[in-house]
Order: sequence, then structure tokens, then C-alpha cells
Amino acid sequence: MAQKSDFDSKAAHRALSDIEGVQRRSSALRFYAAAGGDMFVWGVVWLVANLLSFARPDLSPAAWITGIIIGALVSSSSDYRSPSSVEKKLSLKQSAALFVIIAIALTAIFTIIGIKSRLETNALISTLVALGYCMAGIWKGVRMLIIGLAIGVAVMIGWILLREWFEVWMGIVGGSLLMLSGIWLRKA
Amino acid sequence: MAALHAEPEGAPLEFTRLKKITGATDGNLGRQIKTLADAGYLLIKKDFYKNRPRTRAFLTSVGKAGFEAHVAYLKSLLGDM
Repeated sequence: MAQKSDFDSKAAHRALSDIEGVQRRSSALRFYAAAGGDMFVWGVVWLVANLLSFARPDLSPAAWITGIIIGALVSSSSDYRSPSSVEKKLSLKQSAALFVIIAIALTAIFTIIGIKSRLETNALISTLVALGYCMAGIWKGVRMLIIGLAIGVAVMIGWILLREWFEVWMGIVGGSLLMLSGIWLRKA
Repeated sequence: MAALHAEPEGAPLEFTRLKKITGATDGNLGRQIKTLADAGYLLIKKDFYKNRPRTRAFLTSVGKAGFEAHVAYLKSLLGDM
């Protein structure tokens, strides 16, 4: 009887682990479907804003502000959801609150560190984006972690080896990386 | 059942998504879904979305209760309850 009980608990443990594994995979796929479209849009924003900043540095702030507003509006809309997914995105109010918190945090970081140049600002924000994706990947799924690492490596290569062409590099490589990552997530 | 139970607000899952989650073959998953649907645990809806055929599985209230009872039973075997 003791053997049977031991067998039952082992089988139960295995069955519960299987259920947990399925639910984790399901949650990751749902998150990928919801995040893929947004990531593609942010890739387009990176591509256009970086290339415009390189070509017309005087238009850089306007390009980025416009791009960020467009990206945030598209991200908070529901058009890019997978038809089979009802992944809860943030409401408009939550998105606005998150946007304000990030803006305040970035302002504080730039003030404390004393970053002033356009390229330094770009590199730091791009690194923070990469870090954000890595952190999201730890909780939500390995694909996000891979994307975060790839973006981080791209930022470092651009900053160390191609400083003068950093915006072109980040626009083409970083933007394309985000767009392809978005497609990769959607296809998961 | 576990994948459907994890969906927020009882949302359905498409057959293709279920296949990716479970790693099952078309035939195997199709048979399992049919068995569960026959038992009243799942509801299957077939329609067209963007000119493509789509099969979606919904967890019924009977299925939800059955799955939760099954998980509770498994936990009881581990002495969690």
C-alpha cells in the first residue's frame, strides 16, 4: 500500500509538472503573439528616426518624439493582436502612466550621469531597451531574452566599432533586428 | 485542457496554436479534441477567418470544472490539500 501511495504521488507530481509546462508554453506563445506586432512597429520607428537623425541632426528630437508617440499609440491599439489571442494589453491610462514613469526615470538617469550628446543618449536608451527585453524574456519566454541579447550586442558593436555611423547602424541593423524579431514572435 | 484553462476569460485556442503548445501531430490532437468534445469538455467551432479555414476549441464550463477537479485530485495525492 505504501508502494502504491508512493507511485501515486510520483505520477501526480509528473502530471502536475506537465500541466505547468503546457500552461507556461501557452502563456509564452500568447505573449509573443501580442508583442510581435508592437515590436515590428518599434523597428520601423528605430529605422526611420535613426536614419533621419543621421541625415538631419537638427530634426533628430522631432523625429524621435514623433516616432515615440506613433509607436506608443500603435502599441496601445488592438489592431496588431493575434486573432486567437486575447492577451490583455495595458489600457490607455496605464500606457500613459507607464510612458510618464519611463520619461521621468530616463530624465533622472541622464541628469545624474550627465549625458548630453545625441549619440550617448541614443546608445543608453537602446541599451535600456535591450535590457528591458532581456528582463521580459526571463519571465515571459526565451525568445524575448534572445532578442534583448541580440539588440544589446548590436548596440555595443555600433558604439565601439562604428561610433561615427552609430545612427545608421542602429537604424538599419537595430531597426531591422526589431522588425524581424516582431515577425519571429508572431510566427511562434 | 491545461492550455485552454490558462487562457484568460475562457478564450478559445486555434488548432494550430494547440498543436504548437502540445507538440502533438494533427491526427493525434484531432482525436484527443474529438474525444474531449464528445465528453462535453470542449466545444469545437469551425469557421473562416480572412478567407482561411479556422478551427477553434473552447473550454466548456463542464470541462473547466472537470479540469480543476482533476488538478485538485492530483494535488491531494501530493498532500497539498
